[in-house]
Amino acid sequence: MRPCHLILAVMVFITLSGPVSGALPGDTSGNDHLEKSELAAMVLAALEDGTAIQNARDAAYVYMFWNGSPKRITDSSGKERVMWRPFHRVVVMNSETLETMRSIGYDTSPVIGVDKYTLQKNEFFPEFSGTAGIGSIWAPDYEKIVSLQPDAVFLYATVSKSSCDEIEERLARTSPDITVLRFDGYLPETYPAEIGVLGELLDCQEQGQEFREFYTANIDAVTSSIPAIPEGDRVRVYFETWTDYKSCAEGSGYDQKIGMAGGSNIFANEPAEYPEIDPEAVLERAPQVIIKLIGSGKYTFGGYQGGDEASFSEVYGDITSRKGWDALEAVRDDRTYLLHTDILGGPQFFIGVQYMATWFYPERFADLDPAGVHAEYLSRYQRLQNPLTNEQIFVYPW
Amino acid sequence: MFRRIALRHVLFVLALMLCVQPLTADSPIQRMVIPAEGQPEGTYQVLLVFPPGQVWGIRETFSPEIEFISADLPDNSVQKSGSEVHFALIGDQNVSYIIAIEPGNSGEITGTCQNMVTGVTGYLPRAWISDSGSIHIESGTGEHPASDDSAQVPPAPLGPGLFLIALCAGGLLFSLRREQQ
Repeated sequence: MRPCHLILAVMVFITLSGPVSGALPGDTSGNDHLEKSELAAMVLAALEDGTAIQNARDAAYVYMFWNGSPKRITDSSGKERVMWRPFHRVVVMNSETLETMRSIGYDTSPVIGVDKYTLQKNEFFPEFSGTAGIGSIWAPDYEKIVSLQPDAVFLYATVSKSSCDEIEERLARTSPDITVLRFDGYLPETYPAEIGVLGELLDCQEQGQEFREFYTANIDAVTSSIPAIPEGDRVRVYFETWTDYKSCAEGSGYDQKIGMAGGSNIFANEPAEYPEIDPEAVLERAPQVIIKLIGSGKYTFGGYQGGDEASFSEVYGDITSRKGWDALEAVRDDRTYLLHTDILGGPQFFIGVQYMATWFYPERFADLDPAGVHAEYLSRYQRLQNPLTNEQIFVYPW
Repeated sequence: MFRRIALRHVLFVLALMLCVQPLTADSPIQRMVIPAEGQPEGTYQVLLVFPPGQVWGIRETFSPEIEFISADLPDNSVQKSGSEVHFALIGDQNVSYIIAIEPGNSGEITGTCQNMVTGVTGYLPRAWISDSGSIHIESGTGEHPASDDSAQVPPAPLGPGLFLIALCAGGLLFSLRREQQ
């Protein structure tokens, strides 16, 4: 046997032995750097034996896009994660991260498992309707996850932390080859940075940057004007979740978003994050604007699921006719609004914030066009074929 | 003397232009085959030109009459295997190699390539060297997704235009030989 054949045989053996966690494909020197000669050997081995092709392709990717080195990123849990090869099989357990992947132009074809909530949002995630369901972060189907043989699993970072910590720990014990990555995907304080890290992680830097600029510009269009409004002049807002008389207080995401839009949450100082409110307290604190969140609980209608203007009208009538509310400025001046959680609760919160800003300060934000921003987000960044229809209602009245 | 050298150069350039596989929309990979300068008769230089910034796995297959001599790539990027020679082209656009064919024999070079980054595969333009030394180059099939491997289409038949080009190239080479004699 000639020496070159021996080297080739060794290369074929190494490459056929399959992916090894913690090693770059083809890094025969073991120095965590793929040299040109090592890649050449991988390519030649693949030409000799077609079964080695995937490893050679991974090596080519690492060499061309990662400069021959493993990719290291710090995710939103603060942990450094190391990628040794591009992902081919990905499970995403939070739809917010999945949505952000689309926003940054990631080709989501490697996504082979999603959580049950993603599957329920068929109108928004039509391409995943046939994808395997892996339960939810609260009730994960471990057997299913492991059977899918993913090389990466995405979880929340700080949201539902204990559940996600448990999933990560269990996967680390049972399937150490799986890379766990944690992002929240919608918190205003971390979202811009997460867009950048996800772009870096998934090699979507350019489109990630473009989306980040779009997002930041639309947030800044509101928040840059707010400091000019004296605290005492800010609009008093009563925000009610989809549970009647349940509001939000400081520390909650909704309170933060009301603040971003320049509103003053009348229940911000309640001790609980989501306090139950005495109806009398609403009357006493005399809100100038009322926002009712819909899209869940007994108010599951509208949004991307579409339809049902009658339900919006009925709920609007019920709220504005609550006992004593006709005396409220917010009702008297027709400043009561229904807002769908689809554009406030997740990565699209910046659209909801824009709507709120136009409701709080119609003159100051007369130039804002939240509906236009929404349409652009769906067509340009979410790449949805039929982004919005007349039957999809996100705010009421509009 | 001056006239002879000038004519030789003109003919060489013309042959070069004619032997280069014209760029087509579906086949950005070019093959060029020319008599190797300063080498014995029957020695040819084969040049393959690929789009830039990729990693290519190239498989060239020679008919029995053709002998692979050498390539301009490092030794660890070239692998001879029977009637095949494999190349790993990393980051570069060109691979050039020398072959020899016994004068008076004809021979054929076929090839496939795979873009190791995108996974797409394709046929390289086929080259045929006639017993008179004329060179014919057919069009390749360009690239197509790797998933279509099982359904690879055979090389396209020689089109009338290409046949005419090949005839012209053969004629020019014949003239060049006469000029040298």
